[in-house]
Amino acid sequence: MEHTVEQHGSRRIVHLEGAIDVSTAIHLRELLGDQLHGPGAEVLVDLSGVRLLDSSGIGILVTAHRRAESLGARLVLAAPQPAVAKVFELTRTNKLLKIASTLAEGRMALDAL
Amino acid sequence: MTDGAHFAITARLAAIDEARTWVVSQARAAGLDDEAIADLELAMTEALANVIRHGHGGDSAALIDVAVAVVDDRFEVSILDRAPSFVASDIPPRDLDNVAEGGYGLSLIDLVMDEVRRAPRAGGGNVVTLVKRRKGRFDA
Repeated sequence: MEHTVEQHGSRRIVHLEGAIDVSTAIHLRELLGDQLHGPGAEVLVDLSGVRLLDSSGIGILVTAHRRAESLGARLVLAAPQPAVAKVFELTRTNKLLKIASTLAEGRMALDAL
Repeated sequence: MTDGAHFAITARLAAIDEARTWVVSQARAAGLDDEAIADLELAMTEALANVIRHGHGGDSAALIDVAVAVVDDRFEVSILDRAPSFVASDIPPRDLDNVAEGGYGLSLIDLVMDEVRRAPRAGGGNVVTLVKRRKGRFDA
């Protein structure tokens, strides 16, 4: 899994690429932990380059979501490929996590949170 | 049935990607579509992670065999280990309505595969076989 982070004021856009699986999930946990640094943090995760998301990746995203809520920060996931969207649906985490179908919608969702 | 092909990895999490790459090339050659291949990649990732983390429990020198076979309309991926016996029915099924942090793996395998077989391996160990049916080619 590769990543780049764009910073726009208090907002950060994290672009992820490759496979999020049990061998890269720890890296994702550290990355999202760093971005969700405190109250008011706004993090948009661009999933458009992610072709595989496994159960350990789902676990990290659920933990990050809960961390954001408890901190008073905002976390939105955006632009999942069909294979990744399917994993959110099968695990029903699409009902818990904030997921936008495009990056533009993700930006709007962050504004609305 | 076509001749099967084998690929061996050591029991390291980083080796899962090598096994996935090999299976994807085999699945493409067998004519599976993108969605079926994505399902297979997910299921084998979960199955290998279970074997590496829970079965071999950190013995990174242990060998895991990955075998593929085309049987009629089915593309089968078998994962063969030498770990202590594992009985999936010992683990309570996960309630996917009750969302929590971990433990989706075994449920996901069954959800994305057409068939999953778990059996003891001759000589000790376990075999998990993940089956995906090829669409179209054999449909009337």
